[in-house]
Amino acid sequence: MRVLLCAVFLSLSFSGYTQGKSFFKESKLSGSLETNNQYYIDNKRGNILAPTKRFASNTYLNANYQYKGFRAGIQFEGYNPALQGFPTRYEGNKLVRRFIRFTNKRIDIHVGNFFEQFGNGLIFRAFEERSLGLDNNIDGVGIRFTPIKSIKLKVIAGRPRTFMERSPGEVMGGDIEWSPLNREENGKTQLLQVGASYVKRFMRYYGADPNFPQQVNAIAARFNGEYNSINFSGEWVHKSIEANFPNDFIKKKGLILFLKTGWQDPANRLGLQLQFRRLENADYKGNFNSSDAVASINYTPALTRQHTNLLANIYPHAIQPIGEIGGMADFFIRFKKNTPLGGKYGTRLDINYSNYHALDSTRVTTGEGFISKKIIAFGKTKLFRDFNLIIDKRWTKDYKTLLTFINLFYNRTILQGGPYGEVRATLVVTDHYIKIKKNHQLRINAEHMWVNSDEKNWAGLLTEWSFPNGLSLFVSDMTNYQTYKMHYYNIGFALSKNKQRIQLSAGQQRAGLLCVGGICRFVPSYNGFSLNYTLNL
Amino acid sequence: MRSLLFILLFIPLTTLAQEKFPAVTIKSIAGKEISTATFQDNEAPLVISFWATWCKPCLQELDAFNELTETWKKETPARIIAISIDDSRTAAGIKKTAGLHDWSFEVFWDENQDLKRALNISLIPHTLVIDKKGLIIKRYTAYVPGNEDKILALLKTL
Repeated sequence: MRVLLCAVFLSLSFSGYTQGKSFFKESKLSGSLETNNQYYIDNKRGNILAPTKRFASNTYLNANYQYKGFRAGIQFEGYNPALQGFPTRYEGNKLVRRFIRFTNKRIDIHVGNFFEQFGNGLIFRAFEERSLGLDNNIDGVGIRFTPIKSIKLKVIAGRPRTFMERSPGEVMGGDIEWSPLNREENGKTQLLQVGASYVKRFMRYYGADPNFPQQVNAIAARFNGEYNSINFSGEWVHKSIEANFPNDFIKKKGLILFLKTGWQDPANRLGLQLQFRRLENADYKGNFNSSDAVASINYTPALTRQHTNLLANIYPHAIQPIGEIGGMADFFIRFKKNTPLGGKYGTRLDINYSNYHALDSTRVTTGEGFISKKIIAFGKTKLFRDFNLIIDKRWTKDYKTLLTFINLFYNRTILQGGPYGEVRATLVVTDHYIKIKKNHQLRINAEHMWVNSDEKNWAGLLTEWSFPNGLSLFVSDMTNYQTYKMHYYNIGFALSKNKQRIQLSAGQQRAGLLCVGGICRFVPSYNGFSLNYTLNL
Repeated sequence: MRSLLFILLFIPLTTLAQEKFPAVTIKSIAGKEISTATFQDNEAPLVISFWATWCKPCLQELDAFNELTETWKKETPARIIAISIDDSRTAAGIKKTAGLHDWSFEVFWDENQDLKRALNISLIPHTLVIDKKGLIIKRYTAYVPGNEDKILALLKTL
């Protein structure tokens, strides 16, 4: 199959030469290369020892071809070996993705490896997040069909990717979405969409339990809409009994409930968003034996603010798919220019609050592990709370600041697993953007975090100088100056030129949860050099 | 090894054709589906910027575009389009961020990153300059202050 697909790409590419300019006008040939390399050295003072193989490299090479409605592509990946923190099952070099796709106005057929999402992804999402080593693309067939403008159908069947192989579990499903209202006039949107999904997973079980659920069925119903300045959406997912490694093989049904609503002033002066979500045995596994997020076929990210500061991500929320209830509120207000609070350039105030608890549940000795009778009831165990606000203010044409305040509660015992206790932290961050001269910018980010336990207080500093030729120089350090007194520093440069970007740095990475795009994985500490290169062809 | 050989043969071919902006279905902020083919009207070049609510350099770049909107309008008919790659974790923040920053250009949502993948984009911010015929003339793979001036100079030639 692989050889056949590659041969098709090559023959189509070469045929392009023979058919002259008109072919090239309609053709698109493109590719990309991304390579991330690290060299590890010992830091005996910090008790950080380099792995046996001091050099590690993750490389991704893509090639895509398009001719009118026809597309084909391949992705090659190399882990020689995988970077520290990536699952060790990413190893070797392999063509991990190849596909052929045909699209016209009504139908979109995907054969080979493809990505897809039903609704909000709570029942099914195949996606790629390289920085976390996540890629659960489906190897099979995916069809999107639009019989009439207001109705969209999707069907998928295949096996999700698990590391360098395919999951032993098979996934099949379908989704329908109907848009009875779809109007946009004078900048006002009136939209209503309703949808439903079904996803089945079958994986053969070879153990001794005659009642083990080899087949798991999930159904979902959802709505999404906007009426002038108000938006609203929701999704409900029900899953039949699923037993898997992360839930200790309890035999329990799954439930996900998600609700969202918001209002935004048409003049964008202020707005409010509210989200609520309840998870119960919510992790839907493509492989019931896998403990890693890599094998999930649905997507339940942490609904919290994605902080981008040095220190705030020391304590990120790690969702508890076995049982969690909570939500997030977002509020913003924009003070106009030439007002007392806005000043000459205007001021932005952005406030965010999220709070999550375990479910209100009772342990039982039957196979389902626990029961939680009330749908909307917060358990006594607090998991995570984050209150934060950002004031974004330009003072002069050449100077702008961002002031961030964060107060968080982090139940380390549950979120990291172990007898660690609870963490309460308060963080203040000041970000300064200073224009030194035309197109030269200096950014200074200074942070301090007060922590009541764990490694106690932290301080952090980052400076970055950007030049107009695409070069950036940066140096950063974060240190827990009260306990281990370790410095986690990073110094280097990045250069972007046209379709290329290269970054070289040296430093020390702190062990902890690395969270990108709402998913977290634990990364070990390392000390060494890092070289990243990307190229678009 | 066989796979690598195929790719090495294939990659040089990609340099021989100018890249066309692909037609992919994305969404409005409200969730309405739209094909990127509708962006091209053969009359105006496009500046398409990929961003996310959590990407500080992306917000800086889009703020720089926003501040220059009036100047750009006088000098070029180009349309600026911002495409968010936020997933369901942060998607609720797309409308908020566009409102908070009072952006005057159009904002869309590449929900499962289909368009990002079709364009082989690895990192954001990533900005494309597209001519009237739909050909990608230039890519900016990071934001450094001053990119907006270079883009305007390029747009004037299209």
